[in-house]
Amino acid sequence: MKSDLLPSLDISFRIDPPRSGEENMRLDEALLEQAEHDPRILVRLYRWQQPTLSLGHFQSIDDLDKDAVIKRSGNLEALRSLPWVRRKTGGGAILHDREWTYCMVLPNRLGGERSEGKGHNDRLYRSVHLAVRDGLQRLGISAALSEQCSCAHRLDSGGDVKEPFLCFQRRTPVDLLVGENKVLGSAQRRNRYGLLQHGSLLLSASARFPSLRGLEDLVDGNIFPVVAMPEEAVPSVAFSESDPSVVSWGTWLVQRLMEGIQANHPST
Amino acid sequence: MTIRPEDLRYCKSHEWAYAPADSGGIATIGISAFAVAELNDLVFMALPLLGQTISAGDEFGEVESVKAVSPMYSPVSGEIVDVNTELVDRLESLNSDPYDQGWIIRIKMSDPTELTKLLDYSAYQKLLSQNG
Repeated sequence: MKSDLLPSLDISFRIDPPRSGEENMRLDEALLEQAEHDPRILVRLYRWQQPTLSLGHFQSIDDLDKDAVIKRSGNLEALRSLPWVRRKTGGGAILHDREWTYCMVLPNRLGGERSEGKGHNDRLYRSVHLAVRDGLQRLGISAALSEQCSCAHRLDSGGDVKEPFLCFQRRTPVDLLVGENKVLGSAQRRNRYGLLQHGSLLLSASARFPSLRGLEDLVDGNIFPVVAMPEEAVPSVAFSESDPSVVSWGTWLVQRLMEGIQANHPST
Repeated sequence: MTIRPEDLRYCKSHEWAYAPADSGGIATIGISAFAVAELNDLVFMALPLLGQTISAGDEFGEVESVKAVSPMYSPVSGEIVDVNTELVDRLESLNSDPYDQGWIIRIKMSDPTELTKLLDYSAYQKLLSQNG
């Protein structure tokens, strides 16, 4: 289907109802596998049925107990009690609660992607994250890319100093910050047919870890975007959310993702 | 042993295979210098188990760089007879030597003719220049 927002690109877009962690990860993986036969850009937006930890692909849940910051925070038991799943992407653990999660898959033939490449696609990260940054700035929220890497500290010490367990306590250059708070982080995974990028936009802090604040915690007043989007631009699956701020942020994020995809394909 | 890139056969997914005439049908497998550069900061590598049987094109492991997880695909079919487990603790060494010390697995090939289906050095260089 041609998106009304990006008529020159063939995009399959859907907003899914909240599901379990296992289902959400299975659907993300299925989206990447779909790239073998589907030439379109595939995008889905979703939320989680209950607060859930998703671990990076090579993380161990045992690392939760070894994180000194989490232990000092008093939130260790709250995190330990959560259901957890493993992502196909790397990085740290994400506490999925009050957020929107997006997943997009680009087939290798699009976007200047090298066939069957290795490593990350920095341009796609920046295209999406800068679109969100610019959208926040239009709302009067000052945001910027981190341009830092907490991994450098870990690597320089020969790997002895561990990075934080939680992704949103880590920093990579393309993370989006409001002040010192990470509000958007994403990760990628390849297969031979395409590239998956998924990420979390933090709307507000989870009671399980209150110090990881989201957009609504970081601005004065009750700011959420009032977005008017043509009905035909959003798939027929309606938002199943009752919270108007969540619906608004979801609609707003759809527009930012489209802008990010456009920025990643400037010739279209 | 000194493995020269010119003597290797390559996959489009940037794995290489080295199986000289005196290798007894065993192919040494790794990833190219180009792949290592693309991966940038390597964080972790997941390796297969000894004795595992694999087909050409199958995923034999994964490598995590700072911002992506990428699979590694086997250039040939056969049984995995050696795994460079030491590499996991010194991934940074791939930056300087992705060939000799950077080998990842060795496969006892079930069909050595599969090597002829891979790209030779010249064709691989052409692939790299086309993908620019």
